[in-house]
Formats: sequence, structure tokens, C-alpha cells
Amino acid sequence: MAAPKLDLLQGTLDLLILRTLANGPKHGWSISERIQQISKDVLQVNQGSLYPALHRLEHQGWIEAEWGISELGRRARFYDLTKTGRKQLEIEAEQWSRLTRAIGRVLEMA
Amino acid sequence: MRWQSLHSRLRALFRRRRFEADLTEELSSHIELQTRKYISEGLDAQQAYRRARIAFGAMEEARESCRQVNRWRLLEAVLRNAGQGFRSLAKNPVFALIAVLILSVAIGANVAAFSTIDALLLRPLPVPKPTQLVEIVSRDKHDKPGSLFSTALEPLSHNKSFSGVCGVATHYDAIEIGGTLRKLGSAGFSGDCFQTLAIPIERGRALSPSDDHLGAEHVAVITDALWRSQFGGREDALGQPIRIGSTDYTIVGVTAPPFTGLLLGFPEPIMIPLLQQFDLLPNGSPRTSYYVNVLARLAPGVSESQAAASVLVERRRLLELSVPQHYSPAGKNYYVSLGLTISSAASGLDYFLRHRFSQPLYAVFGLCGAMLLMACLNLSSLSLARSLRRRQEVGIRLALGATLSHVVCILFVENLLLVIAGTVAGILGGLAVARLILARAGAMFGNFYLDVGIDLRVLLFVLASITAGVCVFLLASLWQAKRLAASDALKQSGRGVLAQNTAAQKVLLSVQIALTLALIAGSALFNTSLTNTYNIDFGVKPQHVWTALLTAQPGGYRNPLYWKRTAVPYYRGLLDEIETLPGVTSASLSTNIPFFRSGYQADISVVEGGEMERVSQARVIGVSNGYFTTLGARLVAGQDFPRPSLATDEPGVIISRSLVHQISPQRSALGLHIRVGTQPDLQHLRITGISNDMDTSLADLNDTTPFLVFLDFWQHSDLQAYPALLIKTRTSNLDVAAIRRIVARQGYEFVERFSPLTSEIDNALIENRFLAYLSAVFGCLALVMAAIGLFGLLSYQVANRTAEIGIRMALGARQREIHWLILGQTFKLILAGVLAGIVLTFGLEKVLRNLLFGITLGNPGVLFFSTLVLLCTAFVAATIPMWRATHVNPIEALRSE
Repeated sequence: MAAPKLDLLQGTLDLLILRTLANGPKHGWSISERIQQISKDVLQVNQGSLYPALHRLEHQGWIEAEWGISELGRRARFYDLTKTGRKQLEIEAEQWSRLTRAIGRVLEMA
Repeated sequence: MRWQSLHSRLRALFRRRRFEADLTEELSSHIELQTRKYISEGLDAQQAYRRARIAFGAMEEARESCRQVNRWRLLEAVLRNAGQGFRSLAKNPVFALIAVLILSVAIGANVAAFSTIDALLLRPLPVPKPTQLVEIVSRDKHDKPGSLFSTALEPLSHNKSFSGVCGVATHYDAIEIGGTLRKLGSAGFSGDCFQTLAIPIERGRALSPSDDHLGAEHVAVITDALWRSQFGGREDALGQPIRIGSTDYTIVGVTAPPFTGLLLGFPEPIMIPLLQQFDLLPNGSPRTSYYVNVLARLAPGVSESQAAASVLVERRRLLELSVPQHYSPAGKNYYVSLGLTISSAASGLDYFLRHRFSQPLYAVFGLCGAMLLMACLNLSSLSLARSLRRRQEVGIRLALGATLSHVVCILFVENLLLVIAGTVAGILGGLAVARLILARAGAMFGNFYLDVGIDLRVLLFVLASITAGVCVFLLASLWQAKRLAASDALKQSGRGVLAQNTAAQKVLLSVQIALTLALIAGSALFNTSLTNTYNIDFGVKPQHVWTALLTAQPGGYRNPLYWKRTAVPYYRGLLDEIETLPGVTSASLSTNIPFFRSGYQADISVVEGGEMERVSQARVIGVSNGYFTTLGARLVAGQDFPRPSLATDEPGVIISRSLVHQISPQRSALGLHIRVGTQPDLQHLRITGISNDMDTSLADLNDTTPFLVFLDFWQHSDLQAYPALLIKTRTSNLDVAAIRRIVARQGYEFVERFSPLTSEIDNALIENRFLAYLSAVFGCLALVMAAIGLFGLLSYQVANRTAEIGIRMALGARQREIHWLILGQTFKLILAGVLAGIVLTFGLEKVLRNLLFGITLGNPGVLFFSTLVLLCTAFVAATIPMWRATHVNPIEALRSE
């Protein structure tokens, strides 16, 4: 048995999606797979909330969707980062690292 | 909102099926991929699928979340409710049609009335800061407003209260422009006018003080409207000539639209320097001063009352400085004794339109307002009645979990659809009607032109009235929804034993009945008043009498000296020629068209009166011999003026019988001498005839003792210009073209306007007629609405009490008792409405008293008649429901219970 799985913190899903898409367009399933893979199964994406999040990000203009063909040879929606999405990713990544650094400092020194 | 977002929301809204299909495909492809993964990990297909679904979680919840993201909730709800509303209205098209019709008539009437009020009373001059503009008006001892001499402008311009002053003299003349002859208004502007008023110029230049000299080049500025109509907006219009009188003016500028002149309703498209007008003094030398309307712009920070005080302080000096030197001592005294007042000129100058029409217009507006109120009440009560029938539907909705606000929303959106449709139809119809009325007024007043349209004030008014209407409906919807929610609708299924919850409808109906009664009574008052007016003995016989206004052709009168010699033989020859036409029995000239313009007012006194001399005010009219015969009036003593003879004997005068009683009650007036006004040649006139009391001015209908002075047209050369030609014919036919030809052939004048005398009377009573017709139409509409309301209420009650009536009949109740059962409550509410209506009518009469002639509510007939009409209508409206009630089959009624 691997290490216990963690639920995602509120608001981090968006950041993870944006980061995952930075390497090229993906469809919903491969986004969640990729997150689990990279985090070595520690981060578990709640698939029920993955799709509303994708639609929301699309509304905000950070990602755009296009129909393509999946590995199984059937239609799937592929998502890709837009220019503003890339900028947003930088901002959010920066914020995240500041947050974790700050929390780390507090845990060590307080 | 971003485009992608808008796009996907619209897609979700309008292409719902496609959106749902895409979502399903996206989610199922996820499940499939996940299943494939589990299979590759060694599970069999069924287990893999199961695990994939479990891993995904609640599928429907995810879908709903996705929908939420893409949803445009408010719009969606409105559209859904609107669709629902459309379907519900389509199920009952008669109701929808009646509602839209009522609303569009009511809103249309209000838009028409308000846009006319706006054009006539509210619209400011299109110049910067119009509220700074004031008019300085002279007042005689009877407080009658007048103008000032232009020589007063110079001293006034030194007054610190004003940043500028401007004198305007208006003329209407035949003007030759672009090769055509038109009668147009022209304004003589004193030097500073364009600067003072800040009238914007779009081409060329404005008039400046350096143009306003006798020796300066003759120049003119025209309005944009004339530039477009006469020159087609061509650039080469500048430099073109305009011929006024015998003088040519060169166009040097065009004013920017929408400026059409300073005078309300009568455009003056041509502006020339005041001193370059074509007037000459009686001795043939050019004039250097004119009677002008004095406009001024208040200096910044100076109020109207401060300016008035400063003008009052220097009143006497101003008048002494400006009194014309050629005046007689009496004339000078009169001028110097004038008072000076200041009034706002923000919306321009006005000679009579506001004075004559503002009160009738506000009365019309009041009628329209009452109509709109009626319409709202009626529609509220109609939709209340309708909603009672929809109890079951609403009950089911509530039972299925709809909230109260949802029900209100459904009912409200339905009413909103009606309001929107009614408003659009009403605005279009209302503006068309207002244009029609003003075009009609244009035909009546000659050069009258006033544009109505949607400006900011009209728009605000329309918005305000719609908001009011919507609020009424919102309240009604809220009320009815609450009531429907409270009643246990599902249980009753519309066939309860007791009629309940119609209190709101009853109150609405009572108010409606009160308003209807007031409208009918108002209509009765206006119509009786109109009939009374037409029954006045005018002292003349207007049938078969024609009037024609003669105007000089450009330069037609040559110059004053020439015209003085030519006028009498010309006019006599003209009358002689017209009288030889077949069918013409007599023809004469007058300075005024009867019923169109009354003569000027002047002080009258008897020369022989000595110390006891009495001064009276009378209207002075110049008439030629044959005037009384032509109009069908008569001389009660003395004789008519003689035919013109060049040997001047003592000039005679004819006065009206009432004036005789006023100035010489004791002895016979014939042979006495009178003074008329201050003019030198009118100070010793022998009374040679006494006419009957001819009421040819309908300005004050209650004045039955007209004080009239008739001067001999042939004797006074200053009367002999722009006269009215009066022609009496044997039948109702007259060869109008022949008259026009005869006048034009002489080369001096042309016929500007031709009309039968009876239509002059109609025109003089136009506001009374309009009020009478409009109130009659509105009275009838109100009656129909009240009848519909009553019918709705009674029908509902009968339908609701079918079972009760059935039981009563089965137990032996007679028809009469059933009738009374239904009528009893209705009777009470009609009675309450009638009583309130009577009170309302008395209040109304107080407001309208000035507009009524020969009728008051003291006459019991009016209220009796109105109540009778109302009761009869109520009875008719009640007939069908009553018939239905007494034809209830007791067996049927009880079986269905």
C-alpha cells in the first residue's frame, strides 16, 4: 500500500490544472492521470469536480477547448493554455511558493 | 464579460441540446478511459466499469455543476417566464387584445398630450444657458403686455443686471427667395442680438452691430430649415439674394439647427438687421426706431427679481429717453406712463399660444392621466379575475415546490408583456396623433409650425408612466399571488360554496366607477358648454360668408406716399369688380377677420362729456361701407358709412349698442363726438351709426356686451393695408379661383388665406371642441372598461357560487331572490363608487370652471344624466351573468359538487 492519499486544498486544483496543461493540450482524464502520476498518487483529483473546474477556467479565458481524438480513437475535448492562462499560471505558482515558504518558516521557527 | 464566456453561455442557453450532448460525450469518454486503465490493471470489463464510476463520484452532480458554470440565470428565468407568459396569453387572446388595446390608447393619449405640452410650454430655446434669457415687457394701466421702442435698447444696455440686450421686430410678408414667392416670417434683429442670445451659426457669419445701420449693406441670416428647403442645403446659398418688400438682402449666414426663430410656433427663418427693414415713416423718410420685443441676458449671478428691481428704478428715464419724437403729446404721455416688468424668455417669445392653450392643454392632460389610471385599474382587476380562475394551476405549482416569488414572477412577467406591447403601440400612435393635431393647427393659424418628437423630457415622462404602470401591476401580482398561496387552492378546485377573496377586485371596481362617473360628468359639462357656445347669438349671420386675407406682393404698396394716393380707388375698384361676380351679393373690407383676430383695444371718451367724461375700453375695427350687410349684422340707429368720396367731410364712426349704454346712458349718442386712443386723427369722430352687439371675438365667452368702435376704412389711410376681404354669397358656392385672379391681376396684393366664416368660428372654439370630443371619447371608453370590470366580477361570482345557487334553487328559491343574491353586494359597491364619483366631480368642476361656458354642476341634470348612464351600463353588464345564474340547473350543480 502506497502513502495515504490527500484531498486537494481549496483552490489548488486550478493551479494544478494550469501547470499540467503547460506542457501541451490534454483531455480531462489525462489531466487527472498526470496529476496523480507526478504526485506519485499522493494527490487524488476528485473527478467530479475536475470538469466544472475546467469549464470555469474556460469561462475565465485561461484555457481553451477543442474537440480532438483520444488514444482510444474516439472524440474527446482537449484543453490548452491560452496566453492569459500562461500569465495566470506564473502568478499563481509564485503565490503558491510564497505561501508554502511562509508556512514552512512558521512551522520550523515558531 | 469575455467573448468566450458570453459565447458559451449563449450556447448553453439557446443550443441546450447540443450543450448537453457535448457534456455527456466528454464525461463518458473519461469513464471509458478510466475503465480501459482498470482493465489494463487486470480487472474484467464489468468490474472495471464499476470502479471507474465509483472513482468518478456523483455523475449528475458534476453535470449540474458544469451547467451552473455556463448558466445565465436571470436571463434564463426571464425568458422561461416570458415563454410561459406568451403561452398563457395565447390561450386567452381576447384578454390579451383588450389589455393591449386599453393600454395603448391610454399611453398613446398621454404621450400625445405630454409631447404637445412639451413642445408648447416646456421646450427651451436651443441656445446656451436659455434660463438666463428674460423679456422686458411694457404694461399699460390694464396690465396688458406690450413692446418698447428700440430707442430703449441703448440705455438698457448700460444696466449692470444684463450682460446683453436685444430688440426683435417680427414681420410676416411675401418674400421672394430662390425665385419663388412665399409668405414667411422675418425678424429684425438689433445689432447685439446674435451675441446676446448666442444663437449658434453653422455657415457664414452672424449679424453684428456694424450691420445695424441705415447705410450698411443689406444682409440676412437664414435658418438651417429654410436653407435646406429653399436651397437644398447647397453651399452657394451664401451670397444669394432675398427680396423683402422692394429691397434685396444678401444671405451671409445660416444658423445651426434646431433653431427656427425666437417666436413660439411661428418660425422666422429670415433674420435681418433691425434698421435695414423696409419700413418708411409716413413722410417717406426711413425709420430709425421700431416697436420691438426686448430680450436680455441676465448677467451671471443676477436673479430675475434683482433685474426687475433695477429696471423699475430707471423706468421713467428709460421711457423718456425712448419715446418717439413724432408722437402727439397725448401719445407721449401714454408711453411714459407704461409700467415695465420682466418675465422669463427661456422658451422664447409668445404672443398668444401659451395664454390661450395652456389651460385647455393641462385639462386634456388631466383627462389622459385619468384615462391611464382607469386603464391600470381595469387591467389589474381583469388580471385579478383571471388569476382567480388560475387558482388550480398556481396551487399545483406551489405544491410542487415553487416559491411565492416564483409565482409573482410568472404573473408579473405576463403583465409586463402586455405593458411592453401596449407602450410601444401607444408611443407610436400618440406621436402620430400629436403631429396630426399640430398640423391641423398649422392650417388654422397660417404660418404655425411646431415639431413634436421624443426629446429627453418626453422620454422621461414615458419612462415614468411605464414605471408607474409596472408598479401597479407588480403590486397586483404580489397581492394575487399571496392570496392564491394562502387559499387552499388544490382542495377547492374552483367550486367552493362561499365566494371569497374578491375584496380587492371590489375596491378596484368602486374606484373605477367613481372615475368613470367623473369622466362622464366632465364630458357632459364640456359638451353642454360647447352647445351653449354655438347657441350664442353672435349678432351676425355667418352662413355663406367668406373671408380672404389680402397681403402685399413684394413691393406691392411701392411706398407710403404712393400707396396713400392709390389705396382708396384700388380697393373700391376691387370691391366693385367682386360684387359683379355671379352669386355674390355684397363685399366689403375690414382690418380684421371676424372670430380670427379682434381689433386693438383703445380708450374711448365722449368729447361733449365735459367734466363728467367717462373713459371706457373698446375694441377698434376698421370697416368699409357694406360691412354690416355682408356679415348680416344691422344698424339699430343712424346709417352705414358712405361710399368713399375724395372730398373729406367730418369723419364718422359707428359704435355698438352696449358701448352707447356705457358712454352715453342718458342722451342719444348719434351726433356726439368721441376720442379713440391717442392717435391725432382719431380725437374728434362723429357718431353716425349704432350697430347691434356683434360678438366677433370669442376670447371671452361670458362677455355679452361687446364694446366696439368701427372706423371708416375709407377715411383713415393707416387702415388701408393688409385688409380682410369679406364676401357674402347667395348659395354656398363661391368661385375662389376667380377672386384670387382678380386680386392678383391688380398687381398690389394676393390672397393669402381663404376660409368660410363658419370655419373661423369652429377654429375660434377649437379648444372647447377638442375638450368636448376628447372627454366624450374617454367617457365612453371608461364606461366600457367599467362594464368589463363589472362583468368580470359578476361572472366570477356566479361561476364560483354555482353550487350554492343550485342548492338554493333546489330548496325553492325564486329567480328574484337569486338575482338579489348576486346583485346585493354589487349594488353596494356601485353605490359607494357613485358617491365617491359625485365628490370627485365637484372637485373637478372647481378646476375646470374657467373652461366651461353657461353650465355648472348647479344644474342637477348633469349628475343625474351621468349616474343614469352609468347605472344603465352596469345593468347591461350584469345581464349575462344574471341570466347564467338563474339558468343554473340545480341537478347539474349538485351533481358536480
